Amino acid sequence: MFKRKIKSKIIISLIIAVLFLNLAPTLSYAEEATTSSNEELERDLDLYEKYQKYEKYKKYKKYKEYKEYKEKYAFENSTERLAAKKAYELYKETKNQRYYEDYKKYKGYKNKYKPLKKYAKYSKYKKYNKSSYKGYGSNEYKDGYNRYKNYLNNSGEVSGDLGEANLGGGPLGPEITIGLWNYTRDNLRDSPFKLEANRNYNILNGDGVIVGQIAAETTTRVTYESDGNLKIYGSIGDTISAREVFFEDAAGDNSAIIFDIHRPDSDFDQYRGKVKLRYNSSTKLTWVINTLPMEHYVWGMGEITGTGDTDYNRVMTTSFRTYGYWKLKFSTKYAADGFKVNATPGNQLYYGYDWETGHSRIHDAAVDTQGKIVMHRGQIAITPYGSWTDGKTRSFEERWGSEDYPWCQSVDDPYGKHATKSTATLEDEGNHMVGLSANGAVKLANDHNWDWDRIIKYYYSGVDVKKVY
Amino acid sequence: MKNKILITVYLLIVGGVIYFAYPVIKSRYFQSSEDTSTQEESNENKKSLFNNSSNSEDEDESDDIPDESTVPDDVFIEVDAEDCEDNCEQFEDAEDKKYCQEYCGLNNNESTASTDDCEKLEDLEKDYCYKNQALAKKDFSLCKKIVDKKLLESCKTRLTEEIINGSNPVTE
Repeated sequence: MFKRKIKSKIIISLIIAVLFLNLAPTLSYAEEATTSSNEELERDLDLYEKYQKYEKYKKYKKYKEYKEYKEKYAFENSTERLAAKKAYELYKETKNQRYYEDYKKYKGYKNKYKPLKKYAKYSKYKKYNKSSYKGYGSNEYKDGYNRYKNYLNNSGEVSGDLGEANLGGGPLGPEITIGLWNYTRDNLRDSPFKLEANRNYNILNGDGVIVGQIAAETTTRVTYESDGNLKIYGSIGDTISAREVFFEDAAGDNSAIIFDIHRPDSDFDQYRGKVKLRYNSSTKLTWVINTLPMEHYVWGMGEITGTGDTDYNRVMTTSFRTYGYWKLKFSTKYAADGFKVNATPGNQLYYGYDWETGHSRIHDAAVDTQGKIVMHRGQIAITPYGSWTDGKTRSFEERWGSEDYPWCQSVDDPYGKHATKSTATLEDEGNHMVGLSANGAVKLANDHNWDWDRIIKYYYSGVDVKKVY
Repeated sequence: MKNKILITVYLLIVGGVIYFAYPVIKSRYFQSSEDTSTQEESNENKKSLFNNSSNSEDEDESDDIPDESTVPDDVFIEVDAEDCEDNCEQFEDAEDKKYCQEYCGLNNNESTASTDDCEKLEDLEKDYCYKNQALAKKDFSLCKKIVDKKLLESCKTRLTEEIINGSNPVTE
């Protein structure tokens, strides 16, 4: 009995020893990997930054190439170009020597100059024209760049094929810019913009240079000076900045900072993330713009109060996120003003941190659906929604004449049907009846226990709900 | 009894070893297909860069230029969101700048032209005209007349923006 115990102990010890010896290098590697992961990340960050410099160096080189070909093959204007194009086609057909010179020039334009036109805008990278940056283009740098990019994008359960929805960002999603309100030049002179923050913050000028490091709760003011310049004062000596002024967390943690921006005629003064002022020389307006990750944007959504059924709130937060995502990807409407979406009901009503803290169920629903948007065959499926219908929704094509949004089909909507109002009255009140019917969704969630994704898939035909970050 | 304890300890150790070793072994010896494709793409990029540079060597021999252009004919120039935010200021060439501004919708020209007027124009001017008309009349069918692919896309998305703007009220 005693011998058998000894024997079994020896056998078990031997098995463990053999296993340990086999895996010892791997184990030590695992330990090293854990302890050195931060160092590796820092190394990858370094490679990432250097590879970006190489990319800019390369683009500037291409710009110079573009300039060379421009001298040879560019046309003075579109009339000249079109004439040469005709001659080019005629020469190809007839081989008539009359057209040869134009044929030759247009061929050079088409095959040499035009492919390089995409580099026309990279004169701005002149400062990257340093021979030392050329060395940052090897596989070592490229691999580090890719690893760090993957690290920035990775957040667990992201869906496989994101199609056009791969916009980067961390677990809180890519950053979106929201136009909060604007000032005329006189308004800004009469009632200067002012802000404080709950943490120390930096002020940056239009060139992105830090012009002040300001203690928490200290007030900074900005007024319109002249010729598109803004004047910063209060917390620092009078400082002129061309066109833009930026406010960011001094420690770089823009998720933690809350700015109080004293929004005129509003009870909603506090906003997460970053704040900037931007003057638009065409409209002569200065916009106050909030920049923050997509999730924080959805948390501050003033379109709903969050009092309904949880699944209804999940439906709506997913719709808000999808709309924001679509705007982020495609919007050019406010490009000159420097933002993607405005904070009014015209886009989506956004009240920021004050609303978020007063309506925690919106936040909870957003967390439940974090990173999830509506997609249709690899496309971000813009999600129109409205309050009421007359018993059925309308297709996008029927209402607005485009077949580019096939997920917006007409479906029965018995629960979203308004009890008393006619179709004409509903339409006059702005109910387009395309896409999701909010009141229908409320009843499907409340009274019929439909899950949020079932509701979405009912109102938007053939869509998937995908986690994009 | 002791045996049972030993076996439990043994199983825990083996479990622990597998738990920690698996991801390391996976990352060490089994490269994902995505990484492989990135590498292949990088090699492809290198090849195309090489081809471009060899093209530049024969720049004086226009007749030797292949007929196949590397950029589709239906896009005039590359423009992205960053260019729009910069008011297209990076473009030096007047024609490029105008294209960028039209793409970004920075022209602020309300169209007074009729469809017939657009038809009389040529090339990009015709496309610009149709885009402005489509936005003024909120008519997707006019976007479809645009030949340049990027302008066509921008026409459709901008028109969608205009239509959806103000159309998403929620009354709870």
